[in-house]
Amino acid sequence: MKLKIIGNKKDSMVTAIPGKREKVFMMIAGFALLIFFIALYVLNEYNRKPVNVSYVKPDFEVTDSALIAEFENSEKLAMKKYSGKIILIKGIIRKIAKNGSTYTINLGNPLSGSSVHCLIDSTQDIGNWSEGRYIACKGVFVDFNRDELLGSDIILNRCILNYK
Amino acid sequence: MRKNLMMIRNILLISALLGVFICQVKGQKVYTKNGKVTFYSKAPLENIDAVNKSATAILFTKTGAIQVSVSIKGFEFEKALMQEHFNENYLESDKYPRAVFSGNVQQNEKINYSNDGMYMVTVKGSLMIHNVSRDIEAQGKIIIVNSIPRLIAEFNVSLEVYNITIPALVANKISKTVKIAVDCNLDNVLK
Repeated sequence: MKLKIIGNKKDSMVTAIPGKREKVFMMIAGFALLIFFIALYVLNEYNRKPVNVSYVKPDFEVTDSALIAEFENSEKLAMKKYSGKIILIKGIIRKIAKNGSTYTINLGNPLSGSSVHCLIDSTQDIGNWSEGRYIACKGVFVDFNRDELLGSDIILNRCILNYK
Repeated sequence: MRKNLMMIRNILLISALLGVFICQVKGQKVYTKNGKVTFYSKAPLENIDAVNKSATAILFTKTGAIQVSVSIKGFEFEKALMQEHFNENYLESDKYPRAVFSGNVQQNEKINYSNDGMYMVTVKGSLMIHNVSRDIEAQGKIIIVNSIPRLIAEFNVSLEVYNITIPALVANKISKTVKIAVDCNLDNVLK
């Protein structure tokens, strides 16, 4: 490293001016740091888990009947509105089904063909919930399955029961 | 004498009722909306597996006609990025939201849906994925417990056949075929 004297000799100031080798070294270090941060971002992105619904504020709060009505009135508009969104849905339990270790809760009027199909997150315990009870449930909107024969369903995944 | 006649009448009545019940079981439509469809792909770069627990399946026990429908967006992956690529780049789930299998259980008449048992079956039909329909044949089994049929089947699907393109950068590192497994407990009766 070269030292350069600035000003007259009495009150001179010594400053360090990097030489060619130092410049190359600093460039390599900067580049390595950039690569490190890119790699860190890629690794983080690669291992990113799906969002934990418990900690996320819902995009929409709606009742089962209102949600069903929206899809039955205009499927296209409702799909655009709710696609990938987190919904807090309130309604009456129509049916509870168990498939292996997973519970599914259907919300909606038993007299209507349509229902909201909530796939409960495997970490959740459905406790004492039973058919006919009013609940609040938060989940990720997946799809609307129009079915004339079996009844249409609005499907929510990774649902968390709201005990509040 | 009168007591014997009463007994015979009761036996006949019970037999008739049982006959009606058996006929109903034999010719009913059973379905589920909680069917499980999983897919698995083993490859050098990474193994990919996902599960969908909201498949709709319906079986007409009299004819063996069967339909299984699944929402592409309903597949859950362990990694969020994989799920995004699967929906946006490979299956294009906004454009083609569902995969549907329609077919028949072969030699369905040999299956007694009113008695508990296990039957090895072949299912033949058409599978539509990514808006492409192809004929497929799958081996599986139907297990009947308390008159509730459970359908289990496994088959391989080639991505190329269904026009699912893999980016050139990772083409050699991702498997070109995926194994699909179906497990549906048809515990609802269509009234």
